[in-house]
Amino acid sequence: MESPRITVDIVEATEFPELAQRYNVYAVPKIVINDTHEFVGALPEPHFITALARAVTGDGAGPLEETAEGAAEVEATRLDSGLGDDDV
Amino acid sequence: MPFLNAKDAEVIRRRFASDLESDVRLLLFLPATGGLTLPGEDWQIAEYTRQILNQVAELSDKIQVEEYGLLSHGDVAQRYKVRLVPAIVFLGREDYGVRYLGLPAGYEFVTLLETIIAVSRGRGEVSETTRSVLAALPADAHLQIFVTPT
Repeated sequence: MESPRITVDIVEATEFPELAQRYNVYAVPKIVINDTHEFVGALPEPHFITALARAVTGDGAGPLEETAEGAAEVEATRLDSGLGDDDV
Repeated sequence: MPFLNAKDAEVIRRRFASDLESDVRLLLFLPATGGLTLPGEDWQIAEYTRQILNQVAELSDKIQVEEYGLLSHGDVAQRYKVRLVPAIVFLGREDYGVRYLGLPAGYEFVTLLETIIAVSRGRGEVSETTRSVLAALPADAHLQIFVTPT
């Protein structure tokens, strides 16, 4: 609602097992961003927004670094291994 | 069967009365009708979802529920990029791109209520910092938030 660039699907994981399996959902809430980044857990808002911004801008320290102090440790993990891998 | 007892319904009715601004349309996409159930489609979950939405809509005249079949209204489903059911598309003054896939029960019932209110107001409860970061996002972001009702 704050940005036309953002769309959100809230997915009830147990009812859509194919999706949950595709994104290796073992704990909730799990957030997947653009099929490329993910993190687990309900983060405090500044941490969440930093993780989101970093996922969108790529990995680098973007211009958003100063917006949430101490949030570096919650950087979203890049999904490198390809979706649907069962051997992860 | 009512999901909400009279006391809870009254609490939600008052919350809606104080917090809703614009009308909200809840587009509910359901599995195929006519006895045809495609693999992966669960009619019972869809039916519960339908009942919950309609009971919630009864608590405010600003909330309307519209039902569509994923196949029988394929054009509508395509317009809102709905591919799985049951799916709820939340529309306020505009389409903010918020969807809920599955049954919004248990803890997720609160998610349903809060999403209706946020869409009606056209803004979320976020800080000014968050607002400015989001406004400056250089690229699109599609978030999938996996939840469970417990």
